[in-house]
Amino acid sequence: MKKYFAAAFVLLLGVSIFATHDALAYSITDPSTYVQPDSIYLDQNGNLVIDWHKVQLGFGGYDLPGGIMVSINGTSTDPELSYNGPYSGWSAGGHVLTHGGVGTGGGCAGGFGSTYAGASQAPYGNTYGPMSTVWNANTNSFVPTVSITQATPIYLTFFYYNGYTCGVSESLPTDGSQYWETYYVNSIQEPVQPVFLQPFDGAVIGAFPNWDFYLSNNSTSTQSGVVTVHFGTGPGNLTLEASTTYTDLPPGTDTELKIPQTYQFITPQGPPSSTWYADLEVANTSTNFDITGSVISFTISNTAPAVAPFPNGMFNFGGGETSSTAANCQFTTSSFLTDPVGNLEEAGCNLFIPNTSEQADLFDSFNGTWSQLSTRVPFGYAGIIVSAFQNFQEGVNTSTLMTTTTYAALSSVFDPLKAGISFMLILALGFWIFRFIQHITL
Amino acid sequence: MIVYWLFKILIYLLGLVTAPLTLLPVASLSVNLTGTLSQAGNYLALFDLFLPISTLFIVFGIVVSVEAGYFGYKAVKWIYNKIPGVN
Repeated sequence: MKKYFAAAFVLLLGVSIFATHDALAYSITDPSTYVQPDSIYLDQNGNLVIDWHKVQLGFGGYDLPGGIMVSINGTSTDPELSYNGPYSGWSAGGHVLTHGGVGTGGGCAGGFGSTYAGASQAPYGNTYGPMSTVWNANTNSFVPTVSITQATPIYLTFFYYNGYTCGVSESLPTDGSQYWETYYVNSIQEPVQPVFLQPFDGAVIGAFPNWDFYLSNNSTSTQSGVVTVHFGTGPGNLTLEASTTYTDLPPGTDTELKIPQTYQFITPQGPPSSTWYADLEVANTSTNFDITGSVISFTISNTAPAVAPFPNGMFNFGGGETSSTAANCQFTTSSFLTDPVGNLEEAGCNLFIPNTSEQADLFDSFNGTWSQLSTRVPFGYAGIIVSAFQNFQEGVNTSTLMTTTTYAALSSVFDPLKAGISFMLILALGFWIFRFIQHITL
Repeated sequence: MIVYWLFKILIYLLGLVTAPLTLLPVASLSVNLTGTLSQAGNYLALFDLFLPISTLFIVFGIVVSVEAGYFGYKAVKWIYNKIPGVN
């Protein structure tokens, strides 16, 4: 029996030693051990912030890396980050953050960590940053973090310092890529967000008088800057623009702004409708953020009204229009005892009215059934003919007989002539309908 | 919920009834036809400079719609009258 106890004791001791050894050892690990998902962002001042989680070990200590290297657009060149060579690394490698005490032991010069890129010296916090600049591996220079977008790859690695040699720990990777990991900012907390109101995405609209949009100030301070509408005939061809300034947008509010629309979308010699693309750029001088919203597309048609209705679900802060919430049966948020009528209304509504997801499901189901039929003979022929005719009256005048210049010279004659013929046609239609109703036999 | 499932069942029945039609081949027309229409549209654009083509199309569309609706009504009425016992 004693033998078993002795064996168990030896086994336990061995495990304990290994565990203790592992716990005490500073083993370099990849950044994903520390940097959690959804933890890299630009704050409202355009500074890069990295939230990371310290790892609690069994003896009350934290397994902290000596510092973090951050670079964008590639890993920083790593020869400098070698044994006994931290100083050149500071200047060229992009060490931007470190925790306290680094480089101060053994007569090493300290303080380098704080001299670059707004380094955080909080040793045991969960946040690195905010950093106002970051190392750009493409240009080999520090660049403002405000230039980072959600498409900018951010490279991270950790390192340790050896206080006796004033160098990085031997356990560090020195090949430059072993522990580098790529991240992207999860969110950019732009203080000002632009949203198109007129024309909105997918609108069919006539010659509208104003570019209409609102700027949502999500920050806690007033914001100022310049907002520019870029527009053009292709998503990559937004060469035309109109702009205006905004000053002292109140914090936490949405402000509607308008820019007079002066571009002549519809010309007599052009097609009666055309597709255009636009985006909104907000150059916020309060924080140096330069944000460009997503590209929208809209159709200019000479038969459409100059003001298009807002799409369902869109809230016009300026105009005070709200979408109906009845479709989603949101009558009350209170409990049954607090608001029995509202709860009964909501229950009845839920019983009969499909909610948004159910409506979408019904549409998909019907659309799926119809799309299977719409391409088969003989229905498919109708579809082909209809789509061929869709652009029939939007043809491009390729004739040299009547060019744009010729038309411009003769427009004073043609325009009244067209107006007169239009009037006669509509009058004739009225007479025809009148005669039709007179002689109809049911 | 009730309306949702009613429509769901209707769409399912519609799919069931029209299922044999999905065995039919996919319709296709010669590209020359659609190309011709497109080219005709370009020629029409020339006339659009001095004729109100868009108004002409709107008037033409209204006339065709009214006539087609009237024809459809008469067709349905003719079928209805063929039902034994009616009239």
